[in-house]
Amino acid sequence: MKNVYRKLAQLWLTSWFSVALALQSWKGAPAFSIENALHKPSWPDFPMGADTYGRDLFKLVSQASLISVAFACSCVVISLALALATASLAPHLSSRSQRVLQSVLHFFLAFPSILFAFTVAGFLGPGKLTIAVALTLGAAPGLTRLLWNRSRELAQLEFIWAARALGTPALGLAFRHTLPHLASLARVKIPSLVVHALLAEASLSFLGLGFPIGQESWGSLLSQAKDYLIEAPHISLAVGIPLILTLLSLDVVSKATRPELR
Amino acid sequence: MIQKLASLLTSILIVFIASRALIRALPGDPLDSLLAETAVSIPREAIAQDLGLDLPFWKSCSRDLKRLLHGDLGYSLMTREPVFPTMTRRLASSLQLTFGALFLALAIAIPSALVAANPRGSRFFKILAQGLSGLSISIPLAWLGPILLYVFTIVFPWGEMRGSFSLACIALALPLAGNWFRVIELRISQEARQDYYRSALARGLSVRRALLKHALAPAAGSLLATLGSQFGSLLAGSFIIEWVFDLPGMGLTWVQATLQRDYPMMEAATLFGAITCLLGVSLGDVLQRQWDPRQREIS
Repeated sequence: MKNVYRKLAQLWLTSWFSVALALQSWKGAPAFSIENALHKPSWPDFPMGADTYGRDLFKLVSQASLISVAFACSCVVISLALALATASLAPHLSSRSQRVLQSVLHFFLAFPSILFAFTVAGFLGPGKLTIAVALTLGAAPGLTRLLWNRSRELAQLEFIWAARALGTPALGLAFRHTLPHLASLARVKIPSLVVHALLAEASLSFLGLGFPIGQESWGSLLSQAKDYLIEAPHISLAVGIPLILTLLSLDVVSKATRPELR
Repeated sequence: MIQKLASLLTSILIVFIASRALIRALPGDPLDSLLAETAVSIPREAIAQDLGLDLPFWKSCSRDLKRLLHGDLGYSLMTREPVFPTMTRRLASSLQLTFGALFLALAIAIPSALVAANPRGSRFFKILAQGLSGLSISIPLAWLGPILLYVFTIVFPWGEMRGSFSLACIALALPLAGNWFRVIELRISQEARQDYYRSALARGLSVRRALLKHALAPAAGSLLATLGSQFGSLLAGSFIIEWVFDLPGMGLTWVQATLQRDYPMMEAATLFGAITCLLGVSLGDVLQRQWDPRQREIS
């Protein structure tokens, strides 16, 4: 039964994103045409209808989903790299620097990414850099804590003791002996990290702090959908349903890779 | 306890200094961009004095700290209202929404988690509840809020719902309930595999009593701590809902201040938001300690 859900989730992810990629390379960017603004869904010209600028929503949403996912994935990669580096190095530092690092981590853990986003946006202005910083600062501390717990256990194992006794420096202990053992735990967390990054990107762009109008992401399309909800509810459905299906599929995949959640 | 309080106060001080330092860390002159981008009619020197930019950094910081202790955070550049009372009012309205949604979510999540975690309970309910919680987590608030608004104003017009507080609470509570169902169910079913749970059943306790006293109660301490550490993201959710439902809370104020470059308002919002998050975490810790004697013995 669980397998069926996982297959369905993988089917949705592969089919949606391969169709999106194909549409991108085949037809290019969706064209503006004011006379088609808020066009109702109709086969075959507008399978999902058109948005306020008369762009075909099917093409637009698939393009936006690629941009959002690429953006979310790059933020996840940056926070993974940061967390892996910190967590593998941390147990090999002096106990004093470990305490300092711990309190810095506790400090950052208290704040959600949206708070960082608001603060950074206040000074850098809205934009992609702002949400990239916010998503990284929001995801990295929690991940670091998780990986650090594991690397602390690893530091007590014999092979680390042996390496230290042979005179391996701290950097060698961290990157040659600890990092490879953290990678499997980090890999398991990737789908749920992508879910969080996608949700955070969507909410921040929705609030107008992220992607500018003209370069659409899922969040900025959601905000357009909200503005034209009464005149054109089909925009909301066309934007929302693929997003929800994608998030749901990633959630199913992440549950399947984490045995402790059954 | 005193150590905790000291570290809390230090964190708040760090946030305060950081919120003041950001405006100075900007490349270029913040006043130039402020005057160029917005139509503020206040003279440049007056703004510089307001923001403390005419003083060295530490001097302006200590001046602002003294003012803060008297409940004075300056005046908004846009509306010239005093920032502190405006901010406390807005924060109170955000907290009202957050707590309303939190209680609603827990009222849904705890009973359904108890039923679903029962090892001998119905399989159908378990699968249904897990499916629903997965679905509710995957629906972004930015989509759910407008859709609920649409359904209850256009499709079923049951009265004036725009800006309705209860609908906002429900919209915020649904994803929360899904998330908390998952967390609570996981912890309770871990406890229900322990020997003390089984021996409680063997002594003849009813399943309900055993689940409440031997599964939920031991897990509640760590759940309270998690709730505290999640308080920040709860507040973040209320910001989105305020934007959708036009409720005059902190989120709306903050976004508007950001888009208008209203620096005193933004600094105050950063400070208030951060303090709320830090207090949430500390409160979670304290509650865990009060609830769970095992935690008290360690430290």
